[in-house]
Amino acid sequence: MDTKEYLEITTMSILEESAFLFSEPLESSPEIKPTKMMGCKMTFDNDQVGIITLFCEKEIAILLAANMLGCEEDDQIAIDSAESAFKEFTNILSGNILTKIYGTEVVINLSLPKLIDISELQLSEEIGDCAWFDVDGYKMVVMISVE
Amino acid sequence: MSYSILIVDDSDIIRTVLEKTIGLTGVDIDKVVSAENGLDALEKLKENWFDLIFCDIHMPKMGGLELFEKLRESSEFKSIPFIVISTEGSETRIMELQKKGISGYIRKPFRPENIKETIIKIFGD
Repeated sequence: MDTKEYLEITTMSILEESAFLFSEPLESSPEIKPTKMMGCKMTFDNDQVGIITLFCEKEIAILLAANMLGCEEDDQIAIDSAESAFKEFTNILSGNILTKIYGTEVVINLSLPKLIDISELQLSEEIGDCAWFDVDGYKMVVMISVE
Repeated sequence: MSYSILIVDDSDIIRTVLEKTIGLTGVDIDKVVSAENGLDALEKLKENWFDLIFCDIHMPKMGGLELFEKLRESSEFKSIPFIVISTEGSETRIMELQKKGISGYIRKPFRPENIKETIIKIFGD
């Protein structure tokens, strides 16, 4: 299995397990509006050093929050919790991706999740493996790059 | 008998989800208190007694492992069951934690049943 396949399988699984969200991988990068996107990254090191980055349309972050909290998407608590949900999702996903890729016997140090600007999206796409998803009609990309 | 639980996690959404989940277990809960990191947890422990601690590993200021080690050094707190909730997937690291004496480990993403089973295992039905 190649890295992109690991990204796809793990992301779809974690979306479902953590937030009851169903997704489909996209064959190619879709058109996106940068102003609608938010990003988060985590760095890791074991024998190799790398970065996992997620970008998604803001509606996905609200959906994550709403489903994790068991409320509606237009509830204020879901809107207020969107960034926290997105960071925590990045955290959970990153840990699981790294376990899938490197196995359970390797000790991997993972940073805390950090929100980042959309300007880092193109750079991230150019230097690593990435997988795009449609999540309930909204777009998300998961990327991993290893030095 | 009712129980008091401390949740230690830097993610406010995880703290909220855990609080809700604990409330739905059916176990008689006196209070659930949240802390953002190990340092915050130590402050909460100055003011409250807890029967169980759920704790993340990777947090700013003070992580879960450091908190656990500090509690183990304390004659007052070392007996409190300490359950790690984390994205940690390394069996090596998990075994190290178990050797140090944690009471259990739950990997994220967790199901409400994982939390309920753990609480019932610690406190009984």
